[in-house]
Amino acid sequence: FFFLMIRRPPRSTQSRSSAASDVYKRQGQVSIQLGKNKKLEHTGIRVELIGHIEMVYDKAGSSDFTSMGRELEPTGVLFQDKTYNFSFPKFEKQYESYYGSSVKLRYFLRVTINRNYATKIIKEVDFAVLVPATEPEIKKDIQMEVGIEDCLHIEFEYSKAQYHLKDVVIGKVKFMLVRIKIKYMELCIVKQEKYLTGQANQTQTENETLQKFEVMDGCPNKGDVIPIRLYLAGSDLTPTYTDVSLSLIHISEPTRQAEISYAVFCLKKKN
Amino acid sequence: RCVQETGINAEYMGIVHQIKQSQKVFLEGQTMDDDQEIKLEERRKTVREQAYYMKKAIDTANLRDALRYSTYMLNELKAPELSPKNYYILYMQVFDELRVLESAFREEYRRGRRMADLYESVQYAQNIIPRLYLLVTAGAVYIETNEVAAKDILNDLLEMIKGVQHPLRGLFLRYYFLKMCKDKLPDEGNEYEGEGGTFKDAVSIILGNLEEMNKLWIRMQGSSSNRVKREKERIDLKVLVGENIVRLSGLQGVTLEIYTQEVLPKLLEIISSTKDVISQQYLMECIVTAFPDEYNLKNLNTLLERTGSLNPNCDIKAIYISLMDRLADFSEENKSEIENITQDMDIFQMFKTNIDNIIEEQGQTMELRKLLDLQVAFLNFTLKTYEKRTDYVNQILKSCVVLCEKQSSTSFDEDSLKNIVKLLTYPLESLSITILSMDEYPNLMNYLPFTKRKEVAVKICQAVISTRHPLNNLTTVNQLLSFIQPLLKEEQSFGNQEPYEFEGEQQLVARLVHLVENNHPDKVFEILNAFRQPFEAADEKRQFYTYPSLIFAYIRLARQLKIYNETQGTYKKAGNAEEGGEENEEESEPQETQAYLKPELNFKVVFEIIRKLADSIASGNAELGIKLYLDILQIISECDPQREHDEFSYEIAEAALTLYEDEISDSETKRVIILQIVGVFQILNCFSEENYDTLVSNITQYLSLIHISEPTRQAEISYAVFCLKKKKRYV
Repeated sequence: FFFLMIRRPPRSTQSRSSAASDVYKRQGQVSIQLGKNKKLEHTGIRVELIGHIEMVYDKAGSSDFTSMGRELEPTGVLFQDKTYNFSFPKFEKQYESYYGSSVKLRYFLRVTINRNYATKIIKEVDFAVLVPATEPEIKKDIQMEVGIEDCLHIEFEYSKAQYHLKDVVIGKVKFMLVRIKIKYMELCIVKQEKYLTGQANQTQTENETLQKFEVMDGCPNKGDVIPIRLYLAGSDLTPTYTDVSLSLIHISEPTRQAEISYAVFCLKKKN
Repeated sequence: RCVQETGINAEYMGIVHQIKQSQKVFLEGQTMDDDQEIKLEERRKTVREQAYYMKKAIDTANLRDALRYSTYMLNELKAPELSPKNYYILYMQVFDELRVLESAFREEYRRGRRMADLYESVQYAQNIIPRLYLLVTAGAVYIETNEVAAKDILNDLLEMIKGVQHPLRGLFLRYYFLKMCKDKLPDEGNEYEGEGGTFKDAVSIILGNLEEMNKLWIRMQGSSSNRVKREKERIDLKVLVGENIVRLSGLQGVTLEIYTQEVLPKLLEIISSTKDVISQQYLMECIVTAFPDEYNLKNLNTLLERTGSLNPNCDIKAIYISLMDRLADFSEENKSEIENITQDMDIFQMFKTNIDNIIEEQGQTMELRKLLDLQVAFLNFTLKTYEKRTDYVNQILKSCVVLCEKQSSTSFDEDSLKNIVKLLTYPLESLSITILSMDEYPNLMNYLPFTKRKEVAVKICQAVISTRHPLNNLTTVNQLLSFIQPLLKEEQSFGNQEPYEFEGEQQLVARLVHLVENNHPDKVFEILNAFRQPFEAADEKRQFYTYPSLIFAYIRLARQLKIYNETQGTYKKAGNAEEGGEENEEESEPQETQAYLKPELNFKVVFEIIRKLADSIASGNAELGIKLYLDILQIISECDPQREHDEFSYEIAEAALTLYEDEISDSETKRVIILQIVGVFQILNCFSEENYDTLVSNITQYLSLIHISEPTRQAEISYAVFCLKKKKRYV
């Protein structure tokens, strides 16, 4: 019966400091609307800006990595609807927001109304933080030779190590040795989440295939070179992914799947 | 059942077992086929459905949905279970549906959509088959816009379609590519030339496609399982691969020079890059048939050598035969051109060397029949290209003789013998009697059995007769007679023959006699004697036909003799300069005596010969005998006004009358003949008065013995008597 709304101002009012530093000013409005009740007794109303890493499978390992607070109202009673302005001028964007399957990195504004005799009222509103990256200076290509002993050797190359979202993955795969019957070959865009578990201080990795793209149908001969051209604009990717890798999967008869190669590169939104 | 009833031995049971097996396979094939039918229909139904939605989307200008449905439709072309034949059916259906999409693309362009964007968006499709079919379709329309160089798009397409390495699907995709860029290739004089590229780009693109298609095609062969089935499937699809060569030959820019220097070498390279028999065979044949004959003629040596060095399991001779047949037709239609070409190139020798090589290398393993097929085609080509060269023909015959020598007698099967007959009869058409000068001819003929030799002999006669070639040379005639031996003499082992066939043959021989002619009676006499020998040696059946002809030939000789004697004066003077024919070279007599006849040749000799011949006939056939006797009497009468041969004539007349009395029984025949006799006697001058009287009274007697009721007939008889009496008065 309380309706709490946090409004962010339209973009134009978001001030930006120089591009070099990632210091932003976060501001908005909190408006509290009393419903049927005509009054609200509280022991303080706070607004916090929190950056939080949440481990989906391990709640205990979740933690806040940044936290800023403002007191909107000291202990008192509200008799009518009220709107507060707030501003967090020196908000440093450390990380980008990330909503993964096992890990979430969230930024949100939390308004807390503390009360003596009742539970506190909390409202959280997420917002996204983007950290635009500069274009990587080094434009390297990737070349690798991989294989399965005595069965399959391939040499693949991609023209770049890093791509932006509207980019095209261009490369080729050369078959040096083919002794197995390959049914087809596809390129998979795999999202990889790496996180440290609190307990054992180990890195855990989780993969999720975002998209499959068939690049070859049938089995080639030794020496054949297969072109790769994958338009990233055709796939639904968003820039919040920081670690995405591309893997080349060969499916050979009888439906054995062999993931042959592994190329890691980042996807970022272009400035 | 039949086998069981007759209870034949194990061998036949084996055959029954085989039949049962193949039935089983057939039935199995049936169920497999049914399965295929069902699957094919399923897929076709899906294609229809998705195409329907696609068209609806196109109608509402919803390109995104159109592409989506076309992708679903094209996914059916993945069809891993379909046989090539069924895949083709599915492909054709999809091909038709894609035409609608193609026009939709054009329409989009006209509405202002950027083709570059379309070209990119079709590549978002996740599965490769739909993606590439869409890409090729979009690419074709993109080329039409002329916004980008045609060669760039074509090269890009060529590169991207490498993604399909599955043999069947890859072949059809590349075939689609070929079809779509059919009129989009930069070529001399077309709109895509210049910025879009040159025909050389087109050539390299097509050659690239061909090379890849060839690899895929060979890959279809797979492992050694089901070899025969795979081979058959591959042959079903050969046209897909051959389309590349057809496309190449259609380019304007491929002139003779370009063909020689760039196209042909590359094609030969592709062919010899693998050892695959089916591929080598077919592609070579394509080259022979797709490109103008002139181009191939000019490159003949290369072609022949490379063909000879193909995988030995290839049917090399089929390629040679195809080539030679085409060139033979070319020669026939382009006589002046072929003359020019043969002046520059010794085509005959090229062929000969290569064919001899093939025979040497493969002679052990290849059947005689096939080797002879090759020679027959070679002969046909030679006859059409080198019309007068009997020496070439002789060379070919010689190779054949050499071939036959090496064979055991069992190799000569029916087809081989037919080939030998062809080898001997083809030259007759254009060369006719000059074949007699080919020394290898009878050698080759010896390999034929009696019946086939007779066949050839008949053809020879027909050829000589139809060209009305005068037989004026003894050597030639002797040779001819030896060639037509089978017609002149019966062979022991020969069975019965149809009477009309026999008659036809003998009539041919008889007609040959009529072709004998020469300005010089001596020669004619010699030649006729040469004919007489085998005729006399033959049996009565044959003589029935041959003798009359010979008799009349001698009669003609007698006339010629008469004229000769009368004009002897002119002959004496002009003797040395004028003597008929080419037989002079073989003449052994000294020049001076040629103006004079040999002492052997006089009327008496000729008459006696004729008489003997007629006697032979008469003993078998009285009617004919009488007629012949009458003819003899006439010629004697013509040639002998002095009645030197009076007694001789009397004998003949007597013989005729005896025959009449004794041998002719039928009264009607008697009547007819006696009137003929009377008619002839009217003009005869060869009897002395006494002899004439005797004969006439005999005839009159015979006439009186004829009783006829009919008044007109009776009148004839009376008139005949009257005429005889009248003649008698004037004798």
